[in-house]
Amino acid sequence: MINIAICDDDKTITSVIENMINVIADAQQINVNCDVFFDGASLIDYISHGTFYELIYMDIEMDRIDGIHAAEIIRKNNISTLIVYISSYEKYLKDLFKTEPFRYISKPIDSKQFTDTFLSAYKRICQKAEYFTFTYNKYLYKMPLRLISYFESRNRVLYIHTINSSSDQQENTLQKCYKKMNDVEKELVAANQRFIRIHQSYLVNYEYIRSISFTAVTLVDGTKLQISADRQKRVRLLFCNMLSSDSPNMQQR
Amino acid sequence: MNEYSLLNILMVLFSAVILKTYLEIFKYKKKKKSFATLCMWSIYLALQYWAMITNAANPLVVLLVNILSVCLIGKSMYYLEWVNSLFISGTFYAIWMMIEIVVNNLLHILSINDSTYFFLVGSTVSKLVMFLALHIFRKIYNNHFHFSMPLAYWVRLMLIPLSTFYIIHNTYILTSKTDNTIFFTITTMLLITVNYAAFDLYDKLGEKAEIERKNLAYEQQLDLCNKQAAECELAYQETRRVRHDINKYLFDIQTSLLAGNLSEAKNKIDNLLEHNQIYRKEICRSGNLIIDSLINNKYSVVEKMGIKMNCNVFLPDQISIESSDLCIIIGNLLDNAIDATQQLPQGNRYINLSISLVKSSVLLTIQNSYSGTLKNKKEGFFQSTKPNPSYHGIGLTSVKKSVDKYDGELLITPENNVFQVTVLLYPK
Repeated sequence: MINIAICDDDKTITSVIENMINVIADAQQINVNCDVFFDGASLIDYISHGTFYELIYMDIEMDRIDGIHAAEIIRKNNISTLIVYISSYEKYLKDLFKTEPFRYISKPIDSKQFTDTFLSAYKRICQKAEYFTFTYNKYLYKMPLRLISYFESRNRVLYIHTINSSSDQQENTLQKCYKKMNDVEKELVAANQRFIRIHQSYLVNYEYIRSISFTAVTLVDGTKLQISADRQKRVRLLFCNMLSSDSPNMQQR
Repeated sequence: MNEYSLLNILMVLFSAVILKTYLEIFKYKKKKKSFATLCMWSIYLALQYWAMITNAANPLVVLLVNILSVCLIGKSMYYLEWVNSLFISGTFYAIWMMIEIVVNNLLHILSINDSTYFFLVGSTVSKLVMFLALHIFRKIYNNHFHFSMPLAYWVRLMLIPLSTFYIIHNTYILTSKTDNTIFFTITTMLLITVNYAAFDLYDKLGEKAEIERKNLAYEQQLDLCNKQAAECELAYQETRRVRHDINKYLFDIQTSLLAGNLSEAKNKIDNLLEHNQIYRKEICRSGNLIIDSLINNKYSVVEKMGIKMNCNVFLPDQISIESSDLCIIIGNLLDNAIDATQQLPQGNRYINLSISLVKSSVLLTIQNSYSGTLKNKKEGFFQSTKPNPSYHGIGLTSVKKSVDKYDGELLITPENNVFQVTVLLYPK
């Protein structure tokens, strides 16, 4: 079941989008739940109270709180949500890209483009619905992968960093387990999850990468992690491949 | 040894040539030629000659004085720090000493007991080897291995110094027993000149090839810029036409409205919207003017050739990639795609292009159908299938150069009849 939010102050647009989604969902036998919002503030409110939306259609030019600002606030705690901007602007503002949107749809909405975008989003969402299970202190834990920003191995303990944990947090407040990094890496790669082993001690979630250079990776919360020298070329190529598999219009081979 | 004094002088001059070649490798900024430089060189030459003549001086002292004098020359000729100059001159003598030791040991194997032999032939040969070594050093320093002529030519070039060693050795053996020192002097002089000329020629030819390559790239860049200028002009004309047309259409609609004929006015407006007569066909409207104009310009060619093109550009209107680089990258990749699809039947020609800003990087992906066969070149990218392969085929190399400017990545993945090129750039 996929939670979708549609946020636009224009009622006609929201109903058009909702209808299109329902048509596609019926045709493809996908289970969806659409929530409609007429301004950014109410959407932010809902999300901060715990609702998680896998996909958000956001209009950029809204009256009270415009789409990009709303998205920025939402992004602070929800890295894995896919955001599709809808607008009639002829050009893309630079701020737009800071929120790492998935796609952009221009008004008037072209139904083929909309269908393509929706199906790509669905494919992406399906890939991410995975959990990381581990035992610690005789308890079995199950953590959604989309919340994990990176794994760190230190002194033979595997620390699990999530978006709410800052890098200088005390060791005893991070989740930890005794799995081996190599095993975790193999498990994630086999499940087609996008995690990159940048260093002997670091396994990073691709979604949480804000930018990358030859020597280091910067995460969305500003944490910088070193890439080990012997992995630099490999990490580059892997990053490149992951980026390009997101491209629209491309034939996937 | 006085019979060989002419040769000694020439050897000293050759040392000076060697030193000059060495200093030029590092490409420091040159100072203007001053009297001080002349002084330094004279001191250096005098020192060399004196060191050659008298064998009694303490070799360590001679070495230190040499290093110091080279350091002074370096300082007076170039804009260099003292430390750097000292380091460079130290390295110079380190290399030279190593070469002399190696040469000496090799000559010892020949078990000749003539000390003059060691002195003359040994020093000549070691100077020649030093000259060679500097050339190799320069190639490595400038990373020119793949740009200059291939290894096969280098091997042929090496035959010259190798033959020289043999000839010098034998000439000395033959002439030392007689009083004919002039013969040895002239022979050695000629051989050194031949060596110097051969290497100089090799260098100049390499430079020439490099310049030609650069010129081709510049021509291509100019060509693309010209096309872009033409496109701008057309766009401007289009704007004027549109302004003119809009007035006409609005006047037309106004007449209907004034006559109270609402349905007719509505029809006219519907008609306009449906046929979109106001805008020419554009495939790319991302708001980034450079990219839009590049792609739209190519699109007219694409359409004419019956190629189906799919274009998705998702970028801010301003990105910190220079428009000339965008021109080269997008222009060349599109040209290659267009040429490749030309060889296929009409129905099977397509190009998919996507440019987006993701995770602070610019990602450009272009896919096109192709005939499935690629020719490989010995160095660089593929062999061009165009009719004049040595003249064409620098497109991908130009793209690589632009991509390297941004520390980027260029991936070429031909697979399953779909040729894909991925370019990743990190805006500065």
